[in-house]
Amino acid sequence: MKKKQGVPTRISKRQLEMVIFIALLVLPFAMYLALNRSYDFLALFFLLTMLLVMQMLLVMK
Amino acid sequence: MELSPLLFITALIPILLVLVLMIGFHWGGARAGAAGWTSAILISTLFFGTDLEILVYSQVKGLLLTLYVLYIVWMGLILYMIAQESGAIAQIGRALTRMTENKTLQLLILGWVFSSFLQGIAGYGVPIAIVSPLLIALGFSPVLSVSAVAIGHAWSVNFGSIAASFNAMIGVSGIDGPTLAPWSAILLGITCFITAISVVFIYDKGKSFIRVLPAILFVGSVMVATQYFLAIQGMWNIAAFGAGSLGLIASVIISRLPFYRSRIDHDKQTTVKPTKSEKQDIPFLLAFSPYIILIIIVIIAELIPPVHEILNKVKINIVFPETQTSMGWLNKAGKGQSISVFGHSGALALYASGITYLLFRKKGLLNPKAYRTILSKTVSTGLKSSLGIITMVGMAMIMEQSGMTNTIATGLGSVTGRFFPFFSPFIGVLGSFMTGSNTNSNVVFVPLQKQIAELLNLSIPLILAAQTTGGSIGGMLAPARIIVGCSTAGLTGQEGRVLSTTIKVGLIIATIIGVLTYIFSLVVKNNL
Repeated sequence: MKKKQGVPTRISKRQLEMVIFIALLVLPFAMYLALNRSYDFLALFFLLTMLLVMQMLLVMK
Repeated sequence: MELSPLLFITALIPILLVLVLMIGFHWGGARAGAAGWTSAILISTLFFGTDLEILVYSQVKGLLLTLYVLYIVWMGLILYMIAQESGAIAQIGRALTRMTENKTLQLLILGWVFSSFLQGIAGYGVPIAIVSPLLIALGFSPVLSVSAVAIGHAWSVNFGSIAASFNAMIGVSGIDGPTLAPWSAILLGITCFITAISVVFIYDKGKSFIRVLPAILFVGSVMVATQYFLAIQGMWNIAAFGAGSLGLIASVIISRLPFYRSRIDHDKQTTVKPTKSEKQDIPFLLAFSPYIILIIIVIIAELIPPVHEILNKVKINIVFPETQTSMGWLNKAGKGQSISVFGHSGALALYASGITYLLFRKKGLLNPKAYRTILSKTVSTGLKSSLGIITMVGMAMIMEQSGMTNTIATGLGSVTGRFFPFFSPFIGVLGSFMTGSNTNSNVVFVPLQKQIAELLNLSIPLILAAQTTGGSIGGMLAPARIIVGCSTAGLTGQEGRVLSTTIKVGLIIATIIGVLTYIFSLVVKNNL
């Protein structure tokens, strides 16, 4: 089957790891800032996002 | 916070899960850490009354600790990649092979003495990140190389990196250094010999033990005596550095003996792996210059007060408020891990990398586009290990902030009763296992150990020495630290294989130290 040219349909494992790495560095600070400004729901949202990111890591082989 | 057997077992689940996944199922650190992190979040919320605020602060504290660790990991990797790309690593390997052909002695000189020397001057992860690749270049298997360094330098952790762990113990316990130093130096001195013997046994199951015993006794005595002398004289900040330096000199002397110059029968025939730069004959001093530069920079930055002061002026600090779980576990208000932007060991490694790069470029050892290869290799090697460290530290911080870690330690204390001195080092091991740091282990568990020692009328300096010795030993089986070694040894994702070796050795050493602490506790009582 001929692949479509131009638009990448998949990202490499290394790119995915990089995205997860950056997310795990950014999310705690985002949670901290949200909590300090009393946006508790936003902090909870970031925590759940972090949980989701961890699950991505868990299923990655 | 009340303790129950169910709570004790529940608190252990994340640790057991990580161990089972890494050792039993050979999962990498990142995946096992993610599983441990998830279980810690669930357990702390369901059973330990942790709310959103504590979870958030625990993750930010964890992130600061992670950044502190990753700073040295990434910068150490860059330095190593520069040395490797230039062919310097292979050259060092060849030179050490010429110094002695005895493979066991080579392993001891690098994995035990040189790594301890590096631990004396640099901080977290430097010995394992730098020495493991050297051993691989000498022909040792990657798993053995990482394991040998993780075990070999464990004894020097407490007084290493300008005695960070020991100073933390002084600060947290409120007991002065001269009171704490003698017992710490004694227990760590004993550990020094045991780590050397362990390195020999994991290499060839002890076949060459008798042959290298004189070398272990000679070099070990020099290092142990130096560390003890410097520590009790109040110079604990340079005790491990001094011990490692004299240990290296002693190693050169012993390797010159005809007895040690030849290969022995069962040594495997190995060669130093060739590199692209094999054809270039690099003088030994130039090949070793990345590490000489690093050592000089560290000495200047740490031991010259005005320089130290200037470099440590800019620090990243975050202050956290007091928090309490619904179970009553209190986290006091205070600063998280402070990161000195220009004075951190990672920054010092970066300066060394910059100077080394310019030097090697000038000498023609690196081509103009070498920086691309160096950065690419650094990213591909460092990325996965960084993910492992983030998840492990995140898990450790949830456990600490929710009172789970304290539950485990208190449970051990109440179950063990008068045999507590035997278990004291295991609590130190637990702290290091969780956080990958003896300093953090001391910060978390020294108050608890001191409290139990007072209750049981035990010698506090002895129990705290057992704690910090356990913390030093614990580094060899801390996943976060093993991940660092595996990343530079090309074993990323196979941390479980190394861990299965180091965990056995670590527990054996902790048991020996536990038995000795118990015996000493029978004759030494609390005199504070």
